[in-house]
Amino acid sequence: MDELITLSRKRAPVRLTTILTYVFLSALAVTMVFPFAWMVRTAFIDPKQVFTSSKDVGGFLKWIFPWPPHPDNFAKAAEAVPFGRAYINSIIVAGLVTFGQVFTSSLAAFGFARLKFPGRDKIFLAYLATMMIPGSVTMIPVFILTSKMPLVLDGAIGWLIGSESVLFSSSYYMFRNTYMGRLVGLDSYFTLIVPGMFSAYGTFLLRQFFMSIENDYEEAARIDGCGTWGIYWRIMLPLSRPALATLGIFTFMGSWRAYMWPLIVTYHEDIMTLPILIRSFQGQYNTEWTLLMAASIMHIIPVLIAFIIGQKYFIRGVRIGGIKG
Amino acid sequence: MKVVVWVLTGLILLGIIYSFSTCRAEQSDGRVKLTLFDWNYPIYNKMNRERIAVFEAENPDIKVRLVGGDPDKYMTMVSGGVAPDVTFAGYGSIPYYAKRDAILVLDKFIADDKDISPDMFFGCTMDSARYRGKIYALPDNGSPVAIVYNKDLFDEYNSKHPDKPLTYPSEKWTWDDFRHAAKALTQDRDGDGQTDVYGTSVSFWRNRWPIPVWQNGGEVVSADKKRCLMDSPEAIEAIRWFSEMIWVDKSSPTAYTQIKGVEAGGGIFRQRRLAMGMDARYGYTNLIGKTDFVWDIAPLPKSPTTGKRTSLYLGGVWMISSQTHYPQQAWKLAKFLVGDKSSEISMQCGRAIAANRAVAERILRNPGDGMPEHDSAWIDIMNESRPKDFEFLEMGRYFVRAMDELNYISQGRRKPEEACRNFTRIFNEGLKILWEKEGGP
Amino acid sequence: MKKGKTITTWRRRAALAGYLFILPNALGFLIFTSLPVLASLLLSLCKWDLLTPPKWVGLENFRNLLADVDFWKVPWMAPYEHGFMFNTLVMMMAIPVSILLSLFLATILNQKLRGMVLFRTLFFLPSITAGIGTMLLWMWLLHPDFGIINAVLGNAYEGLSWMYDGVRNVAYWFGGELSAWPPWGGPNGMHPKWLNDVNWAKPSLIMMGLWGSMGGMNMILYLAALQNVPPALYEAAKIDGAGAWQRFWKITWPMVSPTTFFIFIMSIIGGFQGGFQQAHIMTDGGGPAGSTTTIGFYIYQNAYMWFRMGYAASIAWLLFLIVLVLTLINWHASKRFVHYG
Repeated sequence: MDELITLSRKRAPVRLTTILTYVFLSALAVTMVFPFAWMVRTAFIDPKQVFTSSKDVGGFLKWIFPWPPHPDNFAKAAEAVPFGRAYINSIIVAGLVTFGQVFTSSLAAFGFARLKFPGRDKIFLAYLATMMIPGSVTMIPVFILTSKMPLVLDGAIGWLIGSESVLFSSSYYMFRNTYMGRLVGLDSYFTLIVPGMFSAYGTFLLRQFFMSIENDYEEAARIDGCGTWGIYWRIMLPLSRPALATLGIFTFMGSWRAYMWPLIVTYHEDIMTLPILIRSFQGQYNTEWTLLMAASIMHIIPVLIAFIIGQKYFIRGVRIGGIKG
Repeated sequence: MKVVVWVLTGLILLGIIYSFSTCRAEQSDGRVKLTLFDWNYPIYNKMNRERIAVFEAENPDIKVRLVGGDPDKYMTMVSGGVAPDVTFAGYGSIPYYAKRDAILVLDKFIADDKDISPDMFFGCTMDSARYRGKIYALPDNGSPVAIVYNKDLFDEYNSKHPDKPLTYPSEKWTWDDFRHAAKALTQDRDGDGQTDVYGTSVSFWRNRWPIPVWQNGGEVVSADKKRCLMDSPEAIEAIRWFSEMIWVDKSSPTAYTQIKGVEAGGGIFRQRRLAMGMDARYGYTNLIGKTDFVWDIAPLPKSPTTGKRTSLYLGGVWMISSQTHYPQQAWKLAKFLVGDKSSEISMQCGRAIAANRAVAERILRNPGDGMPEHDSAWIDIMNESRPKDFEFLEMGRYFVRAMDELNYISQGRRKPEEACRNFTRIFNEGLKILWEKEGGP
Repeated sequence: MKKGKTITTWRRRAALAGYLFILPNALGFLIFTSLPVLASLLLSLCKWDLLTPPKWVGLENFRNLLADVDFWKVPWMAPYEHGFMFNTLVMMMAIPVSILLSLFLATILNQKLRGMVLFRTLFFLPSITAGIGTMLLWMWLLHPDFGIINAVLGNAYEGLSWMYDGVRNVAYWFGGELSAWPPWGGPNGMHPKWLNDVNWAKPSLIMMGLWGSMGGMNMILYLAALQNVPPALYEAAKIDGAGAWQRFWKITWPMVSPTTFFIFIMSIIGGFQGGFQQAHIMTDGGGPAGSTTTIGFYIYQNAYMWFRMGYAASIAWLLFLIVLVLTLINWHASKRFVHYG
């Protein structure tokens, strides 16, 4: 074990292939970074300079780096829309969706990958099949479903308390609407979060990872007296950390930039997420390019940070330990 | 991993606490709550918030909630049974809602209300709110199309050619004068074979093309909406003017250099690379305070054969949903929105022309700082304009395909005659289905 | 007898555990996905304009769909006639290329070299910035007149014009005429009209897609999968004298096959539904002559722009059948090609 680490730490002699690799990667990196750099450039220029070509300003370099920069685009963008509130909403929504999806998906994936029960593969295929229907045609049914949720909730509370009369009292509605926010239904965190928590994508992804984990671990654990839950919790989850981190970051990103669903179920500005606000810079007749780019940069920075933190986990090896004894 | 989990949990908790602390207090204070729907653009949000503040001050018994979104959000809300009470929409969607009784007929409201009468609005705006003889909406604002021209480029040309100077565009111009000027103003400054300054920019995707057709005595569809008339000689001749500016005079860029979002944002006009654009007044938002040359507006030229002048009006209206529980209050709100105070706010925030004639004329006659000199020309243009009468949303793919045929002209793939014939054929196919299956447009 | 009974009980308990494990996900899934999917199946048999109650029409939507020329037509019937199925399939041709590029990049980035962490982040940037902002940006980069891509191509053209002239001259010596050389621009320089040209619009979007997906999620998935390959296998193969190419095909490829399977299936599902935002935002609703309208966008158009929800649902279900068949083929093929642990 220690030997292995020292071996890999030993400085390898610089080879031609290594140099070529770096050259190739750098060239590719330039093209990958370019649009991002262009975004940053646009966020810092004077709105008047947006529609210019190198011919107009006299010189390629002058066109690419207009001087002086205009950092006030950021302030203007933040002023035009309620950014702070939307940031917090996005964090709440994306965070909970990520947590919920990784958890339920890993449970289901463990079931599909490591346990045997009748109809397993058929249920799984049905899972996959539902992904094949585009969201545009299921959106209205889901919308109707979630918008009727408050009625269901009221019914459930009435049933729990054992009397319907409480539902008709105005103090109940005062309590529900004023102190609890809106629990379910349109304009609620529930509607933003819960439908996103169950995904076939995550289940499929983790299933593939769980299936490629060797049986030895599981058998050893069983011999040690581990139950099914123990195997899931103590063996599978720690072993599949890269996969969990990968799914986590994907879910976070997807939720962070989800546009259609949040747009349709949010009405109050207090509960809108970032992409809805950013989209509003792209106008019908005119687009505020500088503000749009400034807002987009503010939008993607958290994801960038999350990725940089997360990548340590999904890149780190899992098999170093192996089975002892 | 632990760090991430802790950070995440902390953030979520923080957010939840925050969300409760600023929780919306929707007390039941006995006020009637109305929902107002508009497109989700900062300029509209700002405008509507101002309007709502004034309205709520005037009507303390009504509370208005503003909802912003795309038309698809509106569709979802309507089909989900939570339609907003009062909604802003392009007038093109009135037939669809009206046919299905999703919006209220307003004739009775107007007849009963002494504050509102149809003649307080510009004629074209009121026409846009009618469907099969009934009024379904109150017109808010919009704009016809006019020439927006760069004065500096005209002056520059005149100083170079003092022998045969160009006049600025005016209401006396015919399309022949327009073409002549556009051709003269087109130039290749550095001699590299590529045009640097275009005289004009005509395209078929921006709804400018019906104007010369109408002026020339042609029509896109017949009055009973059963037949497309784009294959008439008048229509073909008008389309040929446009096409020749691109392909014969070469005074307009082809379809290839016009991109949504770049050209529409006043792109080449702002770059001093376009002498005469055809634009609506809401295009001002891209120009005022953002150019370093002098520009002005003028009415579109008239037809050289008929001498008729007209322009195409595009605009938005307020509709009242038939799902509303408070039709009287919703009417009050809609009435307020097209009233004097609200129209003034709208003309100051956006640049579209208020449908409310008195307010619009007052503001247009007193152009403020940075406004073009002949801003008042819009009044006459408004009076001469008419709304689009041929965009039937339910025709769906047929409409898109017919439009494609015209677009092919600016891509150099169709001759005007051929394009008009194909347009007519496809449009008639669509109309036939529309009459058979949906009972007409 | 006793042993048999124990096994049955054990099996029953294992089955119960299995159901319990998938329950939380399946429950949410049933409510928020399966029910709406079933609703859309019913809608596909109805005519629904979103406002009046749906009317039952049976299979009429599907009959109309099979006769929908705009949906099925192909350019070899008539030039420039790009049907939506054709558009979608052309865009999907980039899928295998994209998968291979991702694996290729992942194997390079998986080496124990300095700075790989930085490169991973840089390559992932397009996926992070993806969205409306990036699309608008690409529209701009691709603008025929003041887009930077044509500016660079133009400069490159001027720099390399001797070469193009050379080719033209050589052709002339041999009696040929190459007026349209190089094919991506006339004699005035390289100015493809990108998104505005019927023939360039799809390649533009494919180019953008490849650029965005090459170092994106698929690469990350492959990186995570490559971590699972025991280094000892490579060591052993090296000792046996296997070259880099052989090591890749004999070890890496089989070891990452579960991931490839996953990526392939997801790409096909995504590919058939994709192109919506690009068509909506980048090409003003479907591109020149509908050349970037994909099935996904056509569904949206029908549902929300032309108020034909029933027809939209029937397209969705036709799509479903196609994808399901493809997935089932994959599923059965996977038993031969995919190696788990």
